[in-house]
Amino acid sequence: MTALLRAELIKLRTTRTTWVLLGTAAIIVLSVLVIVLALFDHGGRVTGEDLGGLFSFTAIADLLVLSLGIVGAAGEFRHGTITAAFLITPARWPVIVAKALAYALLGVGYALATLLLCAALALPWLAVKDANFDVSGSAWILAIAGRCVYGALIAALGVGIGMLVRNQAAALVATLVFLLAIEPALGAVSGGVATYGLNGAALSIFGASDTGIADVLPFGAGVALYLGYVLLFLGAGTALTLRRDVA
Amino acid sequence: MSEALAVEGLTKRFGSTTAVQDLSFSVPAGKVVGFLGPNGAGKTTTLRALLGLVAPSSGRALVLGRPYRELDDPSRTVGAVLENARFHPGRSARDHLRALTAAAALGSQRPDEVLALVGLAADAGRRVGGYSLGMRQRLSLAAALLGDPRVLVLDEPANGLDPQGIRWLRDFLRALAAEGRGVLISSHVLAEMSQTVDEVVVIGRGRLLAQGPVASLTRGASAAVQVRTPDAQALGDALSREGATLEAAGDGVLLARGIASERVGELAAANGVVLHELTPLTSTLEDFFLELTGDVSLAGRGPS
Repeated sequence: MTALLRAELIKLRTTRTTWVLLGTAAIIVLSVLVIVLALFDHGGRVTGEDLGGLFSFTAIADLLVLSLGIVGAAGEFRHGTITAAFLITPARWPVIVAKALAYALLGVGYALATLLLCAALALPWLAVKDANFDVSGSAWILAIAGRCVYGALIAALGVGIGMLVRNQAAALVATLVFLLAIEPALGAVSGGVATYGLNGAALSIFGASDTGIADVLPFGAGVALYLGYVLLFLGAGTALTLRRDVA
Repeated sequence: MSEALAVEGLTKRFGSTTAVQDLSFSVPAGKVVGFLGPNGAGKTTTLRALLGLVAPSSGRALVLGRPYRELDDPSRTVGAVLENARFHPGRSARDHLRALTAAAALGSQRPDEVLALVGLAADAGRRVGGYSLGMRQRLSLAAALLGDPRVLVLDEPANGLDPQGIRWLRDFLRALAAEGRGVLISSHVLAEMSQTVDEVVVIGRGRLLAQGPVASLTRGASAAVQVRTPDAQALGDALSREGATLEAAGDGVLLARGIASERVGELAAANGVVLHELTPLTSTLEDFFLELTGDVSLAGRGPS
C-alpha cells in the first residue's frame, strides 16, 4: 500500500492540473480573507470563536479540491492510464484505496497551507488594528481540526465520484449542480436533507452547531456522516471497477 | 515451466457478440509467437484476457500456469504493450515511468535504464503530449520492460514505428527471446512478422485457424504459378478444365492456383499455347494468412 500511495503522490505531483487548481483555490481563499478582514469589526477583542470563524473561511474554495479528486480519478480512465495501474495491481481495489488516501493527504496539506496563509495574513492585520487576542477555549483548535478533516474528506469524495462517473465533464457538472443547486433546493423544503445531506454534514464539521444554526449535527456525527458518504462513493466506484472489463 | 502463456478454451462474449470462441493456443518460453488475424478477429480481447483486464466468459488465460490476477508479482512476470498505448499528455516520460516504478516497488533507477534501452533517454524529460506515435510506442515498450519480465505481451507494437524502428524492434524482440523470455506479439504487418516470429497463431472471428512454425504453415498454403502468354484465353480455358483457379493479373499474365507448374507447362504444350514466362511463386506468410482468413473476413464484413 505504501508503494501504491507513493505512486499516486507522484502522479499528483507531476500534473499541472494539481497545481493550477490548488493555486486558484488559494488565490480565492486569500481574496475572500482580505474582504472578511477588511469588514471585520473586532471591537478591540478577538476571541477564539472569531479566529475559528476566520479559519473556517479557508475552506471557501474546497469545491476545487473536490474537483481535483474527480478530475484525477476520472482522468485515469480518460487518459487510459488506469490500465497500467491495474496491470501492476490486478486486484484493482488497492489502487483506488491508495488514490483516495493520496488525495486525502493532499487535501490535508492544502488545508494546512491555507490555514498558515490565513494566520500569516490575519494575525498581523488584526494586531496592527489594535486587537487584543483572547483565545482561551477550544473553538479555534476545533476549527483547525475540522478544516483539515474536511480537506481530506472532500478530496477523497472526489476520487469516489470520479471512479463511479468516469466521464470527467459529466462527473464535474453533475457534482457541482447537485451540491450548489439540487441539495440546497431540497434542503429548503426538507429539514432532513438540510441536516443529513453533504452540505449539512460539511456545516457540522465546521462547528456550525455551536453558532446556533438549527438542525446541524455535532462535530463527531458530522465527520462520521461525511465519511459515510465518502465510503459510499468509494465503495460503489470500487464495486464497478472490480466488475467491469478494462477497455 | 515451458509454457509462458496458455489460452485454454477461452470464450469471451460482450452482450450478444462473441469476440472469442473456444480459443486454445500456447506460447513456449524462449519463442516469439506472432498473433495474426483480421481486424475484429478477437486478438486484442484475447491479449486483454491474458492480462487480467477482461474476465473470460469461460475457459482460462494463463501466464506461467496461473491466471494473471493470481500472479505474485505481475510487473516482474509480464510486460505488456497495449494497442494505442495511452499516457497522461502533461506528464513526462520519466515521471510516467517513475509512478509505475513506485507502484510496482521496483528500483528507482529503472525508469532511466529502460528509457535508455528503447532510445528515449534524450527525451525523457519532455511531456508525452508532444511525442510522435513511434516515441509513444517506445515509451510503452519501456514501461513493459520496467520489471524485467519473463513474458511479454505486445499488441501491435510496430504501429507508428518507422522502418528503422521496426528493424530495431525486431532485433530487440529476438534478443529478449534469446534470453529465454516468451513473447506474444500481435501485428498486421505480416512481412515483418515472418522475419520476427518463430511461430504464428492465426485466428478469425474469435476462433483458432492455425498454429505452427511459419515455414511449416506456408508450405501448406497453396502457392500460385505465374504464366505470361499472348494467348491467355486458350491457356485459361485449358487450366480451368484442369480445376485450377485463375486470376488475371493483366498484360497476358495469369496467376493459377491449385495446379503444379509442371502441369501448366504440359497443358500449354498440349494446346499449342506459346509461353513467355512460367514462374512457380513461393507462398508467403501473407498468402497463407489471406487464404486462411479471406472467407472469414469477408463474411464478417456484412453486405457491401
